[in-house]
Amino acid sequence: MKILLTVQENSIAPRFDQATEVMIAEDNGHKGLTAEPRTIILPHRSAEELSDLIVKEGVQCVICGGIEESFHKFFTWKKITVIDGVIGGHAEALQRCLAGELQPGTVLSSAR
Amino acid sequence: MQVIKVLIVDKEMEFTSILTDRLCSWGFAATAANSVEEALAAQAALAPEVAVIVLRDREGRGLDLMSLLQAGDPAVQVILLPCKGAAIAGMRGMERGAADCIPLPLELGVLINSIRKVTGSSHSIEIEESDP
Repeated sequence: MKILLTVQENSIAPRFDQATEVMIAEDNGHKGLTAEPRTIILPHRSAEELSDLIVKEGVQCVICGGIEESFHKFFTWKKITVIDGVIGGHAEALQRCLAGELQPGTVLSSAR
Repeated sequence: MQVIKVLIVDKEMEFTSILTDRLCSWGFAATAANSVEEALAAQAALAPEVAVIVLRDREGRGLDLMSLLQAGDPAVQVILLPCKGAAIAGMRGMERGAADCIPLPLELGVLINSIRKVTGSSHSIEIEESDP
């Protein structure tokens, strides 16, 4: 499964439409990540361009902070899982997601 | 180990700030410049081996800066990052002597490999980032 996390500094970006950095990780089932996660830096803030990137990359799960309802609906329609409202460090968010323990609205221990 | 000096030039401060932070965390000595004046001053002060220039328009105004930087130091290696719609400007830049052209959005690993390639650097870079 391909997972995309919106990043701001070392945390999940609070808003999807304001994110200019993302991390893409690929999970190989029970064997963990297939490779080091990739960091992608966007030229400017644009929810549309970020959405295009997500579709083109074949991402299956998006981990983000707040996201506009229209994008949430679009991703759901595209069968992309959205775990939104996540607060905390992106590394912890990824670990929790890989462990199947990340739910929408989770406040991670790294945020406290 | 010699640290590679990289100058990042773009009018968008947010982009240069993120990229500078990330390259520094990968062991490069990265400096941001948000105007032509700042870029020329940084070149005079730091003598970077690599200049990374974002091309944001079809006219490729960043190519003029590339020429100025190459005139200031013929050894400087220029990597162009064309935005959507500036691909032709990127191609023109390659014809004018840019070392590489990587379209945006930018995959950090691709830029790092390009910097290593154009500087002939094969040393491994210590990862400070706490990626899982």
